[in-house]
Amino acid sequence: MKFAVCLKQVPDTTDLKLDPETNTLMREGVEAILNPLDEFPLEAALRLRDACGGTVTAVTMGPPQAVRVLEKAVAMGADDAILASDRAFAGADTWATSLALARVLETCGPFAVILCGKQAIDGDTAQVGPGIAAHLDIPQVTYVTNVKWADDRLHLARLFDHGTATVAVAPPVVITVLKEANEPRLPTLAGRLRSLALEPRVVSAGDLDLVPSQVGLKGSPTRVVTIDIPKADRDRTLMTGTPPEMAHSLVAALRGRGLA
Amino acid sequence: MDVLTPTVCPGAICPDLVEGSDLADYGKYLADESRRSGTADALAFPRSTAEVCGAVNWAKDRDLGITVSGARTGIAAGAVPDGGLAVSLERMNRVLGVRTAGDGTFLVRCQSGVLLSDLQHSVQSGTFADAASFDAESLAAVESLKTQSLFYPPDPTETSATVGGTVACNASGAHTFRYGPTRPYVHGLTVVLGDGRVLALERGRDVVEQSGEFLLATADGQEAVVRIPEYTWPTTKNSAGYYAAEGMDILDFFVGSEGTLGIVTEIEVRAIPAPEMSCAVVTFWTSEEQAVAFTETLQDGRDMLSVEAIEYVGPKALSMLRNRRTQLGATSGVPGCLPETAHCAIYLDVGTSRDSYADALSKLAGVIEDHGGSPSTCWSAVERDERERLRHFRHALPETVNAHIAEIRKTEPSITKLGTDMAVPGGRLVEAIGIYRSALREAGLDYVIFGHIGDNHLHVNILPRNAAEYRTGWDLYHRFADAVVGMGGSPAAEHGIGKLKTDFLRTLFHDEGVRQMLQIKAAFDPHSRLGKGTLFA
Repeated sequence: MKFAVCLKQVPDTTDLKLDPETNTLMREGVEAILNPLDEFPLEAALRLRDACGGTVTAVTMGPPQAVRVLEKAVAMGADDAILASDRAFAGADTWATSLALARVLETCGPFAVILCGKQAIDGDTAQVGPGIAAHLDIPQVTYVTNVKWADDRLHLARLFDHGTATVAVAPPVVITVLKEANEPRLPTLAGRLRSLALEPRVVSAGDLDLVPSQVGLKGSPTRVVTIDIPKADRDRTLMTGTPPEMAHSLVAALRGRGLA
Repeated sequence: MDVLTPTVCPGAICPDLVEGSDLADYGKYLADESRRSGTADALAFPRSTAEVCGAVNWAKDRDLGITVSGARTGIAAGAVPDGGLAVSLERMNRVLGVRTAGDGTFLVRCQSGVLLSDLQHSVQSGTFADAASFDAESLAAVESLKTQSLFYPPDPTETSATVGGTVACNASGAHTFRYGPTRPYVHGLTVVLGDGRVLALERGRDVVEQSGEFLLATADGQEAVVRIPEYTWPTTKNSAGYYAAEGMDILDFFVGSEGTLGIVTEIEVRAIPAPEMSCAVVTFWTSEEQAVAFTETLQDGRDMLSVEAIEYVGPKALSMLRNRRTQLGATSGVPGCLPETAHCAIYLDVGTSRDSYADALSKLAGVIEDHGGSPSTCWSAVERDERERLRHFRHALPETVNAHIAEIRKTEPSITKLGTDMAVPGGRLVEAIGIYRSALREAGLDYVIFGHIGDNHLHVNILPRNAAEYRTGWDLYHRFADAVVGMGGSPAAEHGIGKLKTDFLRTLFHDEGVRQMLQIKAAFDPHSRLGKGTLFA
């Protein structure tokens, strides 16, 4: 069975800074890493492969240096890798990104199970996984916390606010995997050596039969107009008097705001 | 022969002192990580060499002893005062300047209370909190430093130590295997002697003559002939006693002297180019014999394989970590992918140029296979998150051991962990492990073995279950020390002698060696004012 894992290279948020004037990310000098939430679908894919055979293909879209996340995936145990890289992809929103990735998966597939992280820590949209499923017109199961293969079906647990649902689904399918699903393995030395020799399959927009109006900024129906830091203004009211007086004042103030 | 001439500090000024009942609020300055606590008549927090001179003069006028401390992270009680004036250097925390050494290395001058972790971060990042006070030469050097990748190699596990503390005990760590201990990275020292005079020392400039002697100007204007000790310094790691070697630099007496020869106030250290690529690897083995044979191959091929550190996790230690994983799950710090067949583990750091990185890892994989291991089960860590997971793994062991001891202390409060600190020469590792294991087995004691196997320096942590086992453990430690010294090794390889292991100084250097050491002490500290009870009981 062929498994594909979609990965994204993101800035390391442990030393992330915003430009105070433009409110945009200051990427200069910031290390790029594998989106931490993508390690969980990768681990899920490796476990599926280890349990029922097949291959795991790591897929990413990005500039040439995004190969680093593919190398990490191979170091952890992925069998091969695809890098979708083309200047025409630049500026893609989640629609254009999921369309391009869907085409990559179609062109280089077919894949039985396509695994994604819940979201990337830089965009936080959680739209690309579902978008891939929509563009491929195959089922999707999101917020997955448990993955098993039995009786020719994936048996999945989905996390909700107040419980979990169990879903059985036959491939092909896209699943988005949560961090509760597993503990990602560490890369091995053998994997590291394989990653050093990695030559990923590189695909461009032309290889995917996508025209300029479908990719990158031109293919993106949404734009990031501004990014603002949420303001958390607080009114402060100091209660004075004896404790009972202060308690009465507090209750009155809360009532005045419709909070009590 | 040049005369080494300490100068009288012209601006000596005594800092504010904490005395009398006020000392009650400063208890932590009278203890260190050895958990031993001492007493003091007064406590000083100088901010400069001049203030240290003032504090020393204050003690001299009252004929009091002086004990120096940094961050008090030592575990041999060297910083614990035995009356007199306690001098904490924690407020001497400024980096004073940077200069290029002309050979691709940089020299960073700092006060001795700078934290090691701060110094290392500054060297790596090129950002110095005190840059506003730097002179033009330093600012130019910093700009040059920023364009390069440098590091300061000494890496004791306890990075919250002060630079002065690491100099005082010639600290070492995992990377000592490749880079050596602190000593070779100390280029210059400013030292306040027990009589309040100041000595400025520089490596390569202030050296002992071929005759094995040097001249030291005494406080009364005379010239004393000082003869270096004749004992043979161990070829292994060693933090016991005063260094001595033919043609040695005089500052090397002070490196590792545990605050008994002078108060080091300023230090110039050397930062060197960092490896372009690095990778941490944890290898797993089904027997200790395999792990030791693997280590010996790495020791023989250290240059070819670019290995920086070789650390051991023995069978019982790995078993404790496995249990920790079972009990605490992912929060244990022990990765779930710990191979089931693993009996013991060896942790390695590889550091290379970009060009030789793949070749070094490939050769390492070959050596692992040659010894019956599997690169497919070895962990490797390159990126920050991966390294962080391995750091948690390594720290999980001391945490587990400490939790184990804390549990026993609930019913046996008198016991503590007995951690040995012994290194043996190359080729004697198997014999040393055999001695440790058979004696501990015969005595029926619980223990774990782990540590710096690359330097043939394993820590045996004896875990006594009651007071009787604690006493037996100490007796065994002394027997081990005798055996290790018999092999040409050191019974105090990196933690120092302090106040807890003074017996071992005699074990290693015998009565005559200790007598010669006391002569050095008498030359620099004629009134024996410094470090009462440290090194010499």
